[in-house]
Amino acid sequence: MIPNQHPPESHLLAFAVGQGELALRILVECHLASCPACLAQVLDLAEVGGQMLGAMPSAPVPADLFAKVIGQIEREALPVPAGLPVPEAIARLLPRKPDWSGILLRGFRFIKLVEEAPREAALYLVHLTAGTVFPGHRHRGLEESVILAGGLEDGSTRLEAGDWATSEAATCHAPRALPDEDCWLVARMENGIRFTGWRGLAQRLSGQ
Amino acid sequence: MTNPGIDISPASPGLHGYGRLGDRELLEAVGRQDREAFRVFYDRFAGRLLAYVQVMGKGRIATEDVVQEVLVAIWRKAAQYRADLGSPEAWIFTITRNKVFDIWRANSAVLEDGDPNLEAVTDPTPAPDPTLAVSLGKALAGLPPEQRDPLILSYFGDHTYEETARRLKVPLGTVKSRIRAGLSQLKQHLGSP
Repeated sequence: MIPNQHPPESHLLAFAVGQGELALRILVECHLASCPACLAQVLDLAEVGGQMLGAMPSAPVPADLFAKVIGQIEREALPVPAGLPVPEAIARLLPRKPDWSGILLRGFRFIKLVEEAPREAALYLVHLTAGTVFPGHRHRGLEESVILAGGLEDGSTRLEAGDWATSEAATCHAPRALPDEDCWLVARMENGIRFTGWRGLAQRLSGQ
Repeated sequence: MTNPGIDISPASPGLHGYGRLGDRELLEAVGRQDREAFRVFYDRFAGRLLAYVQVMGKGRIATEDVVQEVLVAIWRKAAQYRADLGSPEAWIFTITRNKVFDIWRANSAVLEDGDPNLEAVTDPTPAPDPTLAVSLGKALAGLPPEQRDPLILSYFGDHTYEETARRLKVPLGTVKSRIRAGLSQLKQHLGSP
């Protein structure tokens, strides 16, 4: 399936030249895995740099470098986590025994994968069982996410595998997983969210 | 995923077959986790990667260690490359720069003063493609400084966007838009599609 929703070009340029922070880079990489149009754009943006790299005069190569590379590949071979539809970039961030968190909501769980201190941002792997509604909430900062499997209905927007979603600060919504398949997504969120309703009250009382 | 028992010595007959492949087909074979293809790929690109990281890095971190990480990343991610969508060198450029910046961030590497050594990029004498090296140097020289400087620092060189903005005393968004504009100009000069 070809995604309908794409990241901004500035993200693709940042990815093409290595300027994205880790969380953003992983998000873009997850999108590129199913979006040939954006991958073509990234390769186009990197083309001049690729020409430069290709024209470099070779430096002397240490005799043992290949053996070191193969040794590292074998040492760090990654078993694919059973039952998780996640790409290699996400699988490498998962703890050996994933410690899922929740919000007192059946059918929803998440793992924090990466923390970025400067913007109080973090990257999360999120799982919603089919049909689960995530409770109403308001974003305190920017959230960007990519659907890995299944899909979400968010107001009038339908998001499916590979789609990129952006929620600006102050966005208020309650997305629902599509009814026929579990939804897996990866999300980079700045400054967290504030729930509405009783969850919001509980959140305020707990000082979060 | 791996096949530790495979013979990857230069005498392996498969290597000669892969040696006849173009870079696109070779990288696609690496994406199928073919170790013989990876050996040929390594022979073709390791020297250039070492040279590139040396030019880009100015000694922020050990070049050989970085290139080892880059080659491991290429092995792991090669299946993501699509030969019909762009050149292997462009994909390798992207993988390399992402890995280099990751390592620098992880090691809190401190930026040294001075410009990236672009003379090494544009010096045609030892390059396998001297025509390209000359034309890239000329194309860069033909850009207005406000486009050339952020390109040299952030696209070819080792400065983050933030470092480039501070160095050039312009807003972050201006750095990004000038890189984009400069890149378009550069591609026109070079005759890229």
